[in-house]
Amino acid sequence: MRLGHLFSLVLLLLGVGARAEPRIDVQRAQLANGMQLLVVEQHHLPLVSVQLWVHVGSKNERPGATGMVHLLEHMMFKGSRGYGPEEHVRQIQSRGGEANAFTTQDVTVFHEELAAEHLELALRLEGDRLQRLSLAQAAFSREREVVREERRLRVESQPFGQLIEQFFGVSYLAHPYRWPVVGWASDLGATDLETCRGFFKSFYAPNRTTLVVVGDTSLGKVRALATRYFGGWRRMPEQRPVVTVEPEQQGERRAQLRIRAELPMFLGGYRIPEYGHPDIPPLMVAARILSGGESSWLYQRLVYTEQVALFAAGDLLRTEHPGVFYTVAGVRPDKDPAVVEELFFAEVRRLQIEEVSERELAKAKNQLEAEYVAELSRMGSLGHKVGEAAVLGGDPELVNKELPRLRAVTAADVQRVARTYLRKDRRTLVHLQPLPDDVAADGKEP
Amino acid sequence: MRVPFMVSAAGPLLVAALTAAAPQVSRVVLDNGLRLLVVEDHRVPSFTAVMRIGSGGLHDPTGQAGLASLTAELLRRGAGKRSAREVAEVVEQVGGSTGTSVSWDSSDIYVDVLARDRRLALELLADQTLRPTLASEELTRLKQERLSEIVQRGNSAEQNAGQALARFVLGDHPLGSSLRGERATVTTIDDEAVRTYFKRHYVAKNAILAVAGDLDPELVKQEVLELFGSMSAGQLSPPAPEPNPVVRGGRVLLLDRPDLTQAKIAFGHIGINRGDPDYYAAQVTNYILGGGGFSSRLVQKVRVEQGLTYNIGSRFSAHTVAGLFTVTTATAVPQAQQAVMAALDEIDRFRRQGPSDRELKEAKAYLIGSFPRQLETHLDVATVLLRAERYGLGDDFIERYPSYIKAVGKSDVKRVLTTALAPDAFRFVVVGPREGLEEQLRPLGEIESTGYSDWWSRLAPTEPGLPAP
Repeated sequence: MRLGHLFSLVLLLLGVGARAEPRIDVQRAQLANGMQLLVVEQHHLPLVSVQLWVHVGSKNERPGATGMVHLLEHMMFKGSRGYGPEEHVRQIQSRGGEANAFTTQDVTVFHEELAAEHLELALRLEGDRLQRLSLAQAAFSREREVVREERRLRVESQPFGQLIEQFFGVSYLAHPYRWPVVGWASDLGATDLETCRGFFKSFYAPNRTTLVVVGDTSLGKVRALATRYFGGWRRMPEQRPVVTVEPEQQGERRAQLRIRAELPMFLGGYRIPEYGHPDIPPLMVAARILSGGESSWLYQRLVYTEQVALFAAGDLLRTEHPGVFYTVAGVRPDKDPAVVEELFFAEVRRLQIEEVSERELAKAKNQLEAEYVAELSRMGSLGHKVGEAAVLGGDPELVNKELPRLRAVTAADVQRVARTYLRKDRRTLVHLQPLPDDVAADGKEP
Repeated sequence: MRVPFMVSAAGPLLVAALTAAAPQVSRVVLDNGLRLLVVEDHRVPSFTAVMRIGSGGLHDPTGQAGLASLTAELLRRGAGKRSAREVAEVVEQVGGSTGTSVSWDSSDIYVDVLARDRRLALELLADQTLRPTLASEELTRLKQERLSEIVQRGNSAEQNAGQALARFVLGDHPLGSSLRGERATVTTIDDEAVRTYFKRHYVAKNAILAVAGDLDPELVKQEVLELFGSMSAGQLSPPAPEPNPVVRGGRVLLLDRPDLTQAKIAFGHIGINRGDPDYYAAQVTNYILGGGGFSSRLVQKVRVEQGLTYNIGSRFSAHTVAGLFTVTTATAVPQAQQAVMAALDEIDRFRRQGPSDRELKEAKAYLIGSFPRQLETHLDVATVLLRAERYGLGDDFIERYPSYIKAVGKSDVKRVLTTALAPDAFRFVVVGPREGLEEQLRPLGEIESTGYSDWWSRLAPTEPGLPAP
């Protein structure tokens, strides 16, 4: 009943008309140098979202040079042949737009949101810095300090940031997902401009770049502009891919983090398959049943009924290589973390023992569908979904497979993936135990 | 009951020029005084209803910080015939959501669903705002959750630097407390306090209901009349008290966190109100100073030129009767003084120079040009309209906004720099290790220093339970 309605909702949203399948119409083209162009036309507002997905993330780094891909992303704002430092953002903002970038384990993404009439400006600016970045020593030295401050802010001052870092370090033995995107403090301190230039030369290449444009434009227009501003960009030899495969986990891993914090927390996670794997949709449904909103199992049991946790949540990290399903709980100051852990995983076990009810299943699917639709209603987030499908999944059409796959999930599927992936043997658990101020400062315990 | 009369029918919005299917807005006042804003937008078949109560944290009585937000959240914990769990269940089942958002000047309750569940959303919202259960055991549970959250809040040192600055500048004024409450104040809030707050503020004359989405305006107006017509009229809540700046004590508050490698810095003073004629000039000024990211002077000086921080920003937060001007940043402990001085120098330079032609032009272009992006969805439109209604900005606010920014000239920015900014009156809060910071901060003025955790625990109310005037 619900499905038919959402079906028409998606059709309307995307302005596709009466077609058999709800589709995001992703138009594709490729430049001679290998650069991919993906365009989704939307004409209800005279705006465009422009995203350049460069296929390089922290997993392409090596020990000793961690954090370099993110630092290079910062350097992309420090000027290129045609534009001075910070000029890129200034040009976009002074036309009412926004420009920013982010780096993950898998990708570096540069993006602009602005009036459609300024699409050419955005591509001219991007074209210049992607091909002719300045990379001056003085700017590099200062930006390295900025990134060290970013690390102090996001990781060293935040118990949760430290918890995540520990979790990945323990959860992955071999795969480069084990180090943080921002990099280790010592690596940031020791890195140099030459290394940075090396990453720029090897990985910033048209054949590793996907341009996504959503909004009031057309494929013809984007292709003409991309040819003008990226056509002369030289194709680079393919880089050796990350070949390390994380070995199968053969038993639970536990770690403790003892730092200054206000309350105990724990992060528990399970290794799951990569982005486009068919088991991802049932795992998304499982995560929703466990922790989607105030009627979810974890919330009802731990926060509402037993009142032992301040929050209890979980979600999937969808990555190009096998990722994690993580859950996190904040323990009430007066409660025993061991008890909370037990209750917490009892709820996870329920997913393996019981088949979820039809009603529960429908609720989780409705939430996921509503969220999917909400993501499509903003150009920026729609572009993001298309970029993820293309770069992480290797196929932009995956964006159209998500909804049918979600709808097809059965209670048996949820039970099966819970039994396959959410096993104690495949679990990594990090407990944060707060220390009092003075002990934390000394770094030693009585 | 009389059919509500049309007060105005604001025409198509700014975005009308941009799209054929632009949202249409109409405004109606019910007999009981409830103002209704209807945004008709068929682009996406969804529906949102937001009840905005014109009272928020500024109406928390002295010693009861957090009351407005606890009251709003309690509405979801049982209403009409539904228990707390049933409220969550019924809306999550249809893939919708319901929630609350409390600011200093208002309390919003919203329900967001697909268009076909419109009736359910309106009924649920009417139950929550007219017939909440306000059960004692639910309040106890909510307070427990809130107290844990307050403990947890201590994890964010930079958030707490900002919070401590508000208290350091405004003292006992509600704006000096946390919207979510303090440990001492949440403990004192009881059933009686919640019921009193609810009765007094959740009344038709103090409320605005916005409905937006794929709807038939006439049908929705009838439904609203039927479901909200019986909301008691009550009175518009009087404005909250004006703040008095704190003058006693030192100029610098140093909260000791020996474990931190980075000092969290916040400084500022009392700022302009939302109704100040210089409000828009202040927005332009702030964009140039520290609101415009890489285009701002503070980021340029302190981050780009000196590499001292990942982020530095300034803002005027302006409310009905009070406001704050704040600058926030974080830097490695040994360079705290250098970072503060760099920021103060830049503020001083800006005050002496005023804006350049380019700065003024770019700031105005950004503030005008980015406005349509704030209206991307019908909920965005409803949110802007609610704000306009709450602050009496006029039915045509969306159309007029660009002209307000366009009118700001160099002399206006210069005036704001001298009237709304007074570096001599700045007070500073720094969170970090006392040992590494005390000497560095001495040039700023007299230092009050205390343990990070002690500062929060000694915020016991001076006169618990005293109602706001």
